[in-house]
Amino acid sequence: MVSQENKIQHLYLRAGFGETPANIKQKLNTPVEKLVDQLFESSKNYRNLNYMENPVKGKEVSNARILFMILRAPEQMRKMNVEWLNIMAGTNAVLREKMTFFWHDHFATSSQFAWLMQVQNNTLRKHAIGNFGKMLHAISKDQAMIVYLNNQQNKKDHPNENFAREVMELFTLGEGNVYTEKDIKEAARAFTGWTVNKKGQYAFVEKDHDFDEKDYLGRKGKFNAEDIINILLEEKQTARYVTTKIYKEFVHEVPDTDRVEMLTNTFYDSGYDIAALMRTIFTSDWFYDEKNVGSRIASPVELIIRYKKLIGLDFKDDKALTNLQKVLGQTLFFPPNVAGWPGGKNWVDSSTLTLRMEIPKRIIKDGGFDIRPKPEFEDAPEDETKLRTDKKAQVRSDWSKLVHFMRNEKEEAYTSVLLKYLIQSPTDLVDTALIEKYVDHSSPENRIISTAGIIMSLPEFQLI
Amino acid sequence: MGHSRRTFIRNSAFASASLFVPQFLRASSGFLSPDGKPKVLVVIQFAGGNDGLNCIVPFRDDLYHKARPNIGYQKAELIALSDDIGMNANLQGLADLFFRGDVVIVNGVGYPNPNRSHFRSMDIWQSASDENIYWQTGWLGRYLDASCNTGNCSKPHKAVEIDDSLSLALKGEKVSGFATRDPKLLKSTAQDPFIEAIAHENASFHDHEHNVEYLHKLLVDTAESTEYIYEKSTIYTSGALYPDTQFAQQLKTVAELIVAESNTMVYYVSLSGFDTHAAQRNQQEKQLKVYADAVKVFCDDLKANNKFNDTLIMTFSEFGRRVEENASKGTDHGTASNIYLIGGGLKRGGMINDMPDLANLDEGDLIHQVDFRSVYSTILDKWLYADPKAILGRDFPLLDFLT
Repeated sequence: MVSQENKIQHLYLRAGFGETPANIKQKLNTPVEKLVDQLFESSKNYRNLNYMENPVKGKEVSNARILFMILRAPEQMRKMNVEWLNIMAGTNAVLREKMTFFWHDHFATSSQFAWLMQVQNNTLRKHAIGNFGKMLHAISKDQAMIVYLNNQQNKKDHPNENFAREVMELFTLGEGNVYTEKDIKEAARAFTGWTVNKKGQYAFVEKDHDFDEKDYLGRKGKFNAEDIINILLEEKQTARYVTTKIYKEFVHEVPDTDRVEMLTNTFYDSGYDIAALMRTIFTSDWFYDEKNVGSRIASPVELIIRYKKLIGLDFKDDKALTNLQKVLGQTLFFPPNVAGWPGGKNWVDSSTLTLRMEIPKRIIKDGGFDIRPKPEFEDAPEDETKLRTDKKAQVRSDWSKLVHFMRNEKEEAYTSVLLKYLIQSPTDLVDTALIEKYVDHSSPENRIISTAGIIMSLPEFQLI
Repeated sequence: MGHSRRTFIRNSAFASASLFVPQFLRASSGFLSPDGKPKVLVVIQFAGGNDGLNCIVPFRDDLYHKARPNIGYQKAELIALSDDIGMNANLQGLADLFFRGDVVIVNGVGYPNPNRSHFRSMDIWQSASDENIYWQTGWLGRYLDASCNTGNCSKPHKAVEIDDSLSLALKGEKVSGFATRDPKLLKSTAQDPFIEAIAHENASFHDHEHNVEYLHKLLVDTAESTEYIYEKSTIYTSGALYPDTQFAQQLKTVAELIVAESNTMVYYVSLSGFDTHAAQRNQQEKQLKVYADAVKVFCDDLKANNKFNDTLIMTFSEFGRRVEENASKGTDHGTASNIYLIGGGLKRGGMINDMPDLANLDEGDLIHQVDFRSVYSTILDKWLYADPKAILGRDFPLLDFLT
């Protein structure tokens, strides 16, 4: 049986980034439908990522200026990363941010230009719970994406198939579904001429475009890029592929065929309305099944945001926060490749599981993280010695909200109450006697903090 | 990637043979090697894209000097390997091993449709995928996977990376390697006693597919590997004089574990700083010296402890550099580079193939002569006794450097 606490927290962990015990307690008697309505309602108003101004401002940029922008990008990207994390942890528009985070992985992109990543991030946010078709059209004209997938080099005389291949393989149909190698070639022809100009804007270069007839997915016509995207949206497999991915991310990593088919129909028949799809998921009884609650391994970013929400985890220095992401295997704006983060069991190995479980100890006892990510490829060898003397990153936390929440509980009940609010997965393997053994009994406050810290270092805390 | 028939036969051959092996020996065996001695692979990764052409230099080739008027090497600056090929003088330690017959150099190693992004190309080398395919596991991780027999897999410490975090190369589907910057610190006061305590508890959940059981089992395996590697790291402290570089200290750690007969089959070490877009000579020479000086001491240390014949060291980089130097006296991202194989178990030392053909370039880049997966296949087949096809997905021609 899934407890009401777990059920409500489940909704907020999947549709957002989780809520504090106090917020969960407050919502225990509210019907799920109403909470889901609220989630959509509170996502209407939102804040864009607004870290930087357009450095180009509609003027053509020189090569020297481009180089300058590239050199500044790592620091800008780091600041943007922190800003986005803070938006995710602090916003009321949690559903929109969670979906933006999902699409950030689905349309995985890297860029040498921080500005382009900010533009893309805001495009994804705009369409995050809107229409998938509109988002697909927008992302196909996204500057960072065009550059990342080499469509600048896709010209009539020398087609570059990268963009066409990934649009089908990763964004719409899924690898090997419906399309053939010939369809990739034909789509690539239709995408010719879509490029980014020296002002950093999307541009269509007519002379590079192949205006001849294409034979694509069994249809014939003088298709351009927009036509190809519309044909892809006509294919129900696109709805099925995206729905399957959403199911794996929001429900359970092993998709249930019947349910996915039902959801695919909802999504396709609604004309790719993301909100309709998500609402169906969040209001279905099976969403709250024991099998699904607490079944997912939290991604590093989800884990960090959970700590931010629960105990206000914060770092003195931005780099410490991005280093933690890096060592745990997920840095915002730096997906490993166009396929996105592998996720699931892939998040954990011996070292990342140990580090995840040691986070509370490092916060409470050590006051910092002495972690050393792998050097960047571009780092000069001198940086190696610099890394060696890197001091522990000073970390801040605020346990007062949690202590306040527990103020009326009996001391003997601390463990059971905190387990109820912090752990989503089955607790069969949790040894409460062992937890008691390591708890600091010196004061009620220390007892609450140490009990919570120990519970957060359980493997079960990694599951959301 | 499923079991091939060959892996299966090898595993079952091992299973029956192991009945006759004393318990203490069985524990330290991986896949069965014909002489029963465990073989060790040490992978050294040059991160940043090492310019192979300035390591193994065709000093008589006019095209080389034409492409590199500022950063090219003249004969007198090099260690002559033959009448027309020289080795960068900063690789003296490697040259010493080469003249002993303990080094095989493979030229022009790469893959079709080379990718010039550090990240992507390193992923390709580590996962061993084709350029347009994205694999989420590494070739050595899949090697660990192949050891899984009816649910029992190798422990993480069968593949150890000397670092805080694990590279893709060592990530498998069922089992991944073990990363540690310093094994001697594994059981310091920094360890959380609560985590240690739960790692020794029951890890079996009624739903074996549930991630709860997966995480608990991983925790138990981690604790076991931590214990094991820590234990081994206390057995032997090398007295050899390793240079005072971080890289040399990492190799020292590897040597100590090898000499202590840890049953680790793969070690992984990385050296960065090869992205030489500007003032290349200074920077690359510095890194090559760090590399070769450390490797020389490492090999001598292993030799003095009778482990050199059972150790194979492979050095690679994610790509080479463009043939033509750039305006900043550096080189930009290129394609193929060379691989160095070092060890006492090589068939014979020397240069295994021709130098890259500088008259035949692809838009200014070297055309690869050998697919890197041919090198991997040979190592998997003849050194790690695994089935290359099961791990790499298809057959690649084997090279002739191991018996």
